[in-house]
Amino acid sequence: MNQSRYVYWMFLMNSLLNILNFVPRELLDARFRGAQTSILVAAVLGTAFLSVFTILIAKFPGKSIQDILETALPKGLIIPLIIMFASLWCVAGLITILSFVDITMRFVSPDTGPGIVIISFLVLVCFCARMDSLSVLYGMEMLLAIILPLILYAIIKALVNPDFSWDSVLQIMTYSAHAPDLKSIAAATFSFSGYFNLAIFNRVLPKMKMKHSWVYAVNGLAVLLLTFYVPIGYFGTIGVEKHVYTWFSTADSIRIDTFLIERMLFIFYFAYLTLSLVSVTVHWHVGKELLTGLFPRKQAKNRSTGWQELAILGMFSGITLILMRLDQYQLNEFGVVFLYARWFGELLMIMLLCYCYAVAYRRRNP
Amino acid sequence: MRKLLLYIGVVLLCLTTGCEYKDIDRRIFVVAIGIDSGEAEDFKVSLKLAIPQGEVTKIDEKMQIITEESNSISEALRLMKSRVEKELDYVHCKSLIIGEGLAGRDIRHVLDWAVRRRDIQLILNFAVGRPEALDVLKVKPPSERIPSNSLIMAMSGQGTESPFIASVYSYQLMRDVYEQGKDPILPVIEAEGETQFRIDKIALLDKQKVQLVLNPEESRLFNLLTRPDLRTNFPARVDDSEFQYYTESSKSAYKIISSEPGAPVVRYKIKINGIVEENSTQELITHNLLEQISDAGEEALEQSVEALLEKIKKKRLDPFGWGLRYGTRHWNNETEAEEWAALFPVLKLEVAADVRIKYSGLIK
Amino acid sequence: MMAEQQKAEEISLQWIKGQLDNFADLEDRQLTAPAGSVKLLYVKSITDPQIINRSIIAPFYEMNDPAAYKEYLAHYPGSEAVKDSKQVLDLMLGGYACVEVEQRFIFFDALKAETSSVSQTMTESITQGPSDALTENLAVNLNLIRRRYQSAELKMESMLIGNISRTKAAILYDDSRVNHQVLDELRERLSTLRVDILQAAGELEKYINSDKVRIFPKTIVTERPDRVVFNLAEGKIAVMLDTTGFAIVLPVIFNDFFVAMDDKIQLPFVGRFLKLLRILGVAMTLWLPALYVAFTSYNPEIVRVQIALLIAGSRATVPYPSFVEVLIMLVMMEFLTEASLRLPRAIGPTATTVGGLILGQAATAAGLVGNIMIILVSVVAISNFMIPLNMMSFSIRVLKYLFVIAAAAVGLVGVVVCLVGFTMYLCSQRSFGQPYFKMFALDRLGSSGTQKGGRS
Repeated sequence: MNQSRYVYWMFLMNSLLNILNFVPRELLDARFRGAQTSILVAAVLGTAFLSVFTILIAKFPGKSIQDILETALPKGLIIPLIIMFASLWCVAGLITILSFVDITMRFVSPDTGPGIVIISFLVLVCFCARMDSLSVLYGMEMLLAIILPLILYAIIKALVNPDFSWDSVLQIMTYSAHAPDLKSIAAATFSFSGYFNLAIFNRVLPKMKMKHSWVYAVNGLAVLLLTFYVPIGYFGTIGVEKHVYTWFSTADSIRIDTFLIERMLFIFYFAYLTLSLVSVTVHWHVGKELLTGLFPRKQAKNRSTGWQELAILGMFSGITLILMRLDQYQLNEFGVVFLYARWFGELLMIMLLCYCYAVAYRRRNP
Repeated sequence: MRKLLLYIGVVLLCLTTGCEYKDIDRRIFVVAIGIDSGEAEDFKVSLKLAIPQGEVTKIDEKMQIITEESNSISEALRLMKSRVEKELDYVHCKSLIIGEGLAGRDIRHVLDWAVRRRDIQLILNFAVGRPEALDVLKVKPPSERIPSNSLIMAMSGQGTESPFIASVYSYQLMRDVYEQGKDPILPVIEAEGETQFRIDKIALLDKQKVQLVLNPEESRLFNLLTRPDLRTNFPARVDDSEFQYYTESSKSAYKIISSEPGAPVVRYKIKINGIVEENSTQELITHNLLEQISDAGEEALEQSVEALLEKIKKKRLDPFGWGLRYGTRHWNNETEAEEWAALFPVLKLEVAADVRIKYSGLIK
Repeated sequence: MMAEQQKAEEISLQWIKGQLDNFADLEDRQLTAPAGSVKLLYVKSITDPQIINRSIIAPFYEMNDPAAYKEYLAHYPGSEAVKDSKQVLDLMLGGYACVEVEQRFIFFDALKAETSSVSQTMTESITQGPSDALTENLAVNLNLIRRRYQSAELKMESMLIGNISRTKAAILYDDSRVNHQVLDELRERLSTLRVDILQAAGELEKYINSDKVRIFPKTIVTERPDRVVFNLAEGKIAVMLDTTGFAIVLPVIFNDFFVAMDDKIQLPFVGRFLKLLRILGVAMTLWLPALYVAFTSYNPEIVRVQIALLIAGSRATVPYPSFVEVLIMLVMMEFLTEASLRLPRAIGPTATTVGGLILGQAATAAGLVGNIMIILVSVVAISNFMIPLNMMSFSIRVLKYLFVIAAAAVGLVGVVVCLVGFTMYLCSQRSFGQPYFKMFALDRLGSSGTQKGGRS
């Protein structure tokens, strides 16, 4: 419970975040062609990835992925690998930010310029990502505790709405007898990939253990199914593909009768803005830690490491600002490419870990 | 150095403050939009603007209605911008009334506009206005303290729980317009003079325009079939005495039975628990009579519901989503739509009502 | 015995007098009796004349035997022999009388402590429970604590802080529960402390914290002995200073600031409810002004239409943007709070009433401020004072302006960004190396079984 719970929070964060943009869109686009079987496959694959990775990395208590790779691989190979992984994390964060700026522009502040919104996000994220790993974890846990009730409330409220069209959901279920397709699986496994952050956080969680993997499977599956079915209940089997930010439109369709705020959209927006900011912080923290690990290590945290961190985060922010120019469809394509890349990155990382473990095992028992 | 940076940051923040700033008192809220077909151009768009007043204690609601004609809705709105001194803000728009003439032609254009615009909510109430949307907007009930509040309350079901009103949000309309095997509906609002409106009819649409308008009696039955726990009263006639019973709880469900040979059957089951509310004679209500009332109520209900269903079926409309339900029970997804289209004309409709009147009210 | 005397010979009465030059209240007397004479030197203002009379002068004449008198003085509890010249001065300034008898210096404790007696708590009032406050006398304070914490594990270390003020400080901790890492860190920080004057507990608090920019207090400064005891039992360390009626408790976590001492007295549900109220109060103080700005200037779509129209109505006459309105009213409120704090007790409430009621009324009537704004400001002011510990309540008071500025810059987005930053910042804080803010409840959840077993 004590340290292992952070793994669960990381998982939960990603799993809830998948609602944001690309995952529901990819899944709903494939709703007549095997999205549902893909979800099932993804639940199995995702849990398997998660368990294998967590168990393997727990064999190296207190070490980050870099320390682990250094035990078995030559230095020349490590640097490109780490840069590749770091860029994955950087992209993961910036996609979330870009999507959220877009969502903010559409749903909340059409009057405010996107510039100031993205700058306020970036300033916050850079400030938070520079904190030490444990603080990031504490903060993540705290903010999750604040927003989880809100998200649960939104989901329950969405499901008990008498205007929820269960017939549409059932109708989609009759389309489930299709072979799963790769794109949907890649999208759906994103829901499980929160564990990936352990690559760095393993360093501060030496007592972490992998327990109760069925919880992850059930939880991930439940979130994915909700992600998929709830918008269908609100927009019908055909109308659903017309919406760009499916879940935000869904939240916009829910009315709260007895509160100061009438539209669920804003509660949902509040929760998801918080969640995305935390998630970007976590992702960029990992990316930053990976990259600073490449520099020769110094004893104490001094001025130059501070500048290094700033330079790395500044680079991340710069890329984000450049990518602001993408339009809706380009961003979507970019997101889909990322979903694939991330999946293969995970696969690669697990294989590397396996190799490192094998090397370590052989060294110990020659 | 750090402090300097911090100060610069704060100063910058303070400077940027206010560049995108539009205070609430510089905005004017559009609370309802009415769209009619115009005389010269395609659309006649009317906006009902709420003008807030400083003194809350005074009861005088102020509102303003502006109208503009244009070939596109957006153009009309832009034109209207120059007619008010404040910025028009649509975020609080809660109702969109489509004039009857326009609704009889095509509502999809308006729907598309309303759903596409980012500052218009998806929980916007759609309705058909009679005789014109503008007339409905002009209605100003004396009990109203916040502009257009009565319209909002009535249409969203927050205030009155009238059994004749069906509230339709834009996301529902959107869903039903595109859904295969379900047709949209819209409530009809009639303006009666300057101070009253009446919402007791439901318009049934095909995917595009109004095909059939139900009368109040039918609207109530329609709501009984689509909504649980409808609070209303139904008549029951035993011998000479006319009874009215109040529905404490109601439940309706249907099944499509197509496995048996022959035409498929849509079988409705309605379950009502009621209380006697009105008795036209001075007869004492006994247990026996209570059961008789139940039976009579059942029969009357079955007949009227069956008539309604037949009427709707004859128009080839499917506001209940029978087609969708048929699809959920069949896995042959490619062919089920055509199958259903072939089955629809020969569909048999059955209604089984189960009315249980448990109490005679406070007196026997 | 011999060694002591030899050392003492380095010091002469003359030397002491030279050091204490220009002391108007220095008394230098020679007592002569038939059997011999002694010299007596003391600082009049901090010594008790009664003690001098009764325990030093009278016995000398009664005994009339310098050798016996010397023995008497040397064994009197509280008298000290000297070790070095520096200590001599410390003792002299600490209220000791110096007696030179038969070429030997004996320092006799004759301190006169002008102490207020144990009084009622002023800054942390509670409805039920003890109302003793810590006093300005360290000995009395220790008495107050020891009486409530009768355990041999309660250890005390004392030290002097301040080059000039020479303030006595006592570090108290429960040896079996304290985190020794924290204790060592505290000792190190105290021993490296270089200040001239130390007069208040809050001052010490400021010196022993390492970070430069601090928004939140990292130690509790309290005047309640029961809070000190409660925290000692939780394994915390208390630092007490002579001459101040406050103790410092460390390390602390954020939640500690929301515990009032009567939570323990209330029924569990009531206690929880009260704590929840306080947290809600903090949330209100921080958010309400910011949300008002966000709702009126950027996102009027969030609140329902009826409320939006109400706000618009109440702001109809206000000639400036909402955040100026908020800032004006908030600053006005701060003036009121500050003013009523400094005013004599008798007219304090008057100022508040006059200021609060009449000013608010007039401002709305003149159309300078909206009605809703007045309600909001009062709520903010009231909920701010729900925090039991002043230090935190002041921090929150300042922080709400940050939220207002963020809201004025980017609206709702700014408020949320600020909230996330605020939480993350709290989580990154450490109080003496211990986490300041996290889900402590969950940590306890995992280990609750073992803890209960250990206690029962």
